[in-house]
Amino acid sequence: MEARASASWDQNWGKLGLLPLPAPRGGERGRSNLPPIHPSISPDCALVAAFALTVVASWGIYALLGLGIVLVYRTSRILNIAGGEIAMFIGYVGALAVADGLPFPIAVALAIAAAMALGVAIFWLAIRRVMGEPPHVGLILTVGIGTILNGLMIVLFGGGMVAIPTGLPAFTTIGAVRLPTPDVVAAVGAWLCVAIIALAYRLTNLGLQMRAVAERVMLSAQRGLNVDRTLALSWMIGILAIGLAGILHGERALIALSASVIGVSALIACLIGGMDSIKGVVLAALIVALTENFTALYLDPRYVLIAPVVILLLILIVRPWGLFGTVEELRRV
Amino acid sequence: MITPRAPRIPASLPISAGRTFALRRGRAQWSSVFVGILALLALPVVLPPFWVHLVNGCLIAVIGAVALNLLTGNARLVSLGQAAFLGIGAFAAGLVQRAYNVPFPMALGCAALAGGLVGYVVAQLSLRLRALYVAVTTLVLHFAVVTLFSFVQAVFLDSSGILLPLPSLGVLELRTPTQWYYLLLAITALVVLGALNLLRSFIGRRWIAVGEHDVAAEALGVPVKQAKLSAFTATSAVTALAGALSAYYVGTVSFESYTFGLAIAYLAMIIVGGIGSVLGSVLGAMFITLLPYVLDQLFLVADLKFRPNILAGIHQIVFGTLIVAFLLFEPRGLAEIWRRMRLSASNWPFQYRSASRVAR
Amino acid sequence: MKLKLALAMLPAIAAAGLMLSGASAQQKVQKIGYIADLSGPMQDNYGPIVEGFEFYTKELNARGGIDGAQVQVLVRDDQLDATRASSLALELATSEAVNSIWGMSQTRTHLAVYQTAARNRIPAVAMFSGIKEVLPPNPLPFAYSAGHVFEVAGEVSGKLAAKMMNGKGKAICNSIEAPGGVAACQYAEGAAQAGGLQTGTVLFPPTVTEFGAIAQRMLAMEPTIVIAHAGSGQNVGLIKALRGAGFNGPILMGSHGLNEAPLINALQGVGSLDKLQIVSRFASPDSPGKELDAIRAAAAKYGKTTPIATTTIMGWALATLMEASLRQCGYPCAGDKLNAVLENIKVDMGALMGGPIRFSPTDHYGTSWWRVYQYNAGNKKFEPASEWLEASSTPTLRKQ
Repeated sequence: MEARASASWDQNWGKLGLLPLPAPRGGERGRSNLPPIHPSISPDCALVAAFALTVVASWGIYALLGLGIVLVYRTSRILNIAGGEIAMFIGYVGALAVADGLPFPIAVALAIAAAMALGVAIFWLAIRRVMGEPPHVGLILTVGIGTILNGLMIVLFGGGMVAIPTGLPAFTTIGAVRLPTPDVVAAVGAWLCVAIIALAYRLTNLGLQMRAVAERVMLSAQRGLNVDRTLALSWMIGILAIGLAGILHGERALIALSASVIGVSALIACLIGGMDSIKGVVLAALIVALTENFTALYLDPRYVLIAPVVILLLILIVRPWGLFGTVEELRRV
Repeated sequence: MITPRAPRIPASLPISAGRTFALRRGRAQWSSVFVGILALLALPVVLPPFWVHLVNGCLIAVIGAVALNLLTGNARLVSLGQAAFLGIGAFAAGLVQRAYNVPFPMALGCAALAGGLVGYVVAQLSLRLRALYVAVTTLVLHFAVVTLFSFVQAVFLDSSGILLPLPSLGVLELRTPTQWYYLLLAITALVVLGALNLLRSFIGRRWIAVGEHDVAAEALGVPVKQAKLSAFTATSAVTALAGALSAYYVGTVSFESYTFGLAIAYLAMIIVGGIGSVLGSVLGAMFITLLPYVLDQLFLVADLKFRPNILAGIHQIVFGTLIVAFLLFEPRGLAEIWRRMRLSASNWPFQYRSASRVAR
Repeated sequence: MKLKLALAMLPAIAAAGLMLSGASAQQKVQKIGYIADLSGPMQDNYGPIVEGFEFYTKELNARGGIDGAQVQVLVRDDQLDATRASSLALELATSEAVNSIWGMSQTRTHLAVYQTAARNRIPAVAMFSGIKEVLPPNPLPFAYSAGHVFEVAGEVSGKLAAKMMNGKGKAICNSIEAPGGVAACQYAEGAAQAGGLQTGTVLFPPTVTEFGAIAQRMLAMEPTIVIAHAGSGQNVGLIKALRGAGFNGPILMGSHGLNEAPLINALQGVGSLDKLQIVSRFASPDSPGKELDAIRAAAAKYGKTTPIATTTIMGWALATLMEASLRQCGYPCAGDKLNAVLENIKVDMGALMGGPIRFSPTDHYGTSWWRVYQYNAGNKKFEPASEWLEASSTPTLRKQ
């Protein structure tokens, strides 16, 4: 059977071959098919620059998502496991807006509004009623919310894989290096958002109120702070950060139901860095992004999603409260 | 002079230790148990075979839900790794069966053993941690286990799953849903009765004490470490058993069935049913298992002109809403609703009983 | 109170529904079952297959059915869950008494459905993709496949890659980290090596959407041709990342449930369609042929406004197989009898596939014919770029 098959292959191939392929540019090797760049920069340097950009963009997106989770944990002590689903939901909103013909910035503004509304809605309808309960109640509540959002995504948006095109040219030239634009936009956008939110948390009045509620709720209430309003605003900003991370991911890669694994990676970053530490989540996001991308490049891409889990396991054994988290006393049992 | 006769003491009054801790008191309660057993045994005769199949699914879910409720509801160790333990049970049974062709009961035993071992290890890891971190550890376990199984399946098995042969107990082959029903009924009855008795025994009371407040429990002399270890080990073993049963029932094992959604489904079972009560596990397991089919039938009957492709989305929305609603509004779940209905039925036509009447 | 009333009504409604759904028909009816994923994340892949199947069945019934017996297709949605698929197969086999199950969704559900169908002695024929348990020498009883089995598809793509590169260069195969994907790349590598190429494989989890580092890894392996066996959504992301990272060579895609229109739309902006080839067992939607004209006519008749895709053709082809087998089986057709018919069937597919579908007792897949389609930027369609190439159902060129 095998000999007969290959004979017919050769006959059929010999008779009518493929349409002629366009001639490859450069040599046979894929690497030298890179477009020409400034002669003083070797192809290796260009590859390193591209890889560094990938890492910085991943780092930024995980830091932004993690920031959203950390902000709500600090103020309401509820770990939001549904980060991935929220990010994808807002990403779908943005993708739908762009597919309807709106330009990218308007779509982003629409998605920001949707994220803020979603954050306030989640707080007002659900979170508000479980403040003060043991931590696992809030955890399971966010699991339920994630499931509802998953269902809503299927019902409203169909659940297929979509991208959010910016309309910018595919490559940008920075200095002498040519880099893919989506990564550049994602990196710049993510770090801008992280900087704005972190600085606002540090410097503005609202940030001060949120920090007060995060440290001592009773004392802040006694000092006249509207705790409910502060909590609602902190959820709004947290979900906003998560939604922005989703949009940037969609801009750079794809939005899909299964892509909510970026939420898992960001959650791992939160846990490694300390659930209530902003410094920690930024550093841990770097660890997670580096681990994932180095695993993809040097080890084996099959283990891309499991590599950060191994690091989390090590941290749980050695220092369970994270790198910069509040040191919790261990129960010596 | 008329000597007042002593009032007849109802048989259900808990006047002795034996009566206090009895599962059922009095003729009325025991006769309802008897009728219930008769009804359960006669069920496959009355129902069409597909409904018996659905009931079998419910029974397997009950086993897993009871175990999870003991762990998360009573001992308050939140576990997100239910799917991992189910998978461990299924893969242990499947691999052992494939490698050594063992009989069915031995495969189940191996599954329970494997689950217990892994549960012990996880418990050791999470002993020192607080509630939230236990949940996180089980989440990590879930990812690790699923990845390990996908690796095993792709590299060693090179197949889309392990095929399991028809199980047989001695000469009795388990082929039809009705035959499976009686076996599953027996196992589930054992598990449920075991859980009820466990909660009334010193082991169960230690678990409840540790769950309520582990520092106070330690101060009272409860060995907290042993309690947590035993809770994790026992419940993981039972969950793995449920996983192995499910694997033999469906006939194949594949790592893709053990998703995080499955763990969420079991959590929903205990939340909807009632955290901390065995009745809650049973009610919740039945509710969540039958929910997709009931929803499908509702849509069929209502003949709503939806595109069929949003049905999965509606399942998820209903599911998530149930979790959120029960968590917010009725944290003691269906079991509490059942108790309230029973109380109002026994009080009818009155709203409440006066204090002089004997409380049930 | 209202809630309690509603909860109490639910079982009654469910019972009514179950009774109503078992519709009684006065005339002769052949009942067949169809299980697919209609509402999950891959509904865009499976929906058109069901559509194609139902178009054919409606036309068949309009022509008078099979010797006067109308064909009733009971479609069930398994939502990509193996346990639910097995449950639905059991329901179809026992409550609805169908004599066969067609279609099926992702390969993870196949073993469960095959097992349940075999235990109830009805045949199950898969279309979308297939698992190797239908290949010779010992196929599972009552299990058949008419679609893309990953091992065979992998070997075909490897041979094609070697031919396209004239035996010089390096082929990198990529796929998802699942048993079928791993096997596809093993056979693709083996076949490419047999053809003289150097090879490599890159696998990634099915949930990855960001391919920057993966594309850079592939580039570092210096490929001259890339063989892509991942799902169509991930392939889009991967192709964009590859072109963005600087790979300008040809990319050969395995058409596992591909819909051409979304692919073309997604890759237009990146300008990367010019060296994209697709290898498929079926005709492309724009091919000529009387069967394809019939599909297009039926689609228009039943109100389909979007253009048909390869997946619609897959559904129609499966229905052709269904009619031929039911016709040979006669009336009434029980599962065992239909299985005996399928085990020796040969059905001419005309312009839909390159050759007939032929099963035998030791081969529940049969020899398959594959063709390459290349994108024509002029009329924005994928056009055939080779003749039908035969592939045996015993792939042997596995990488060691």
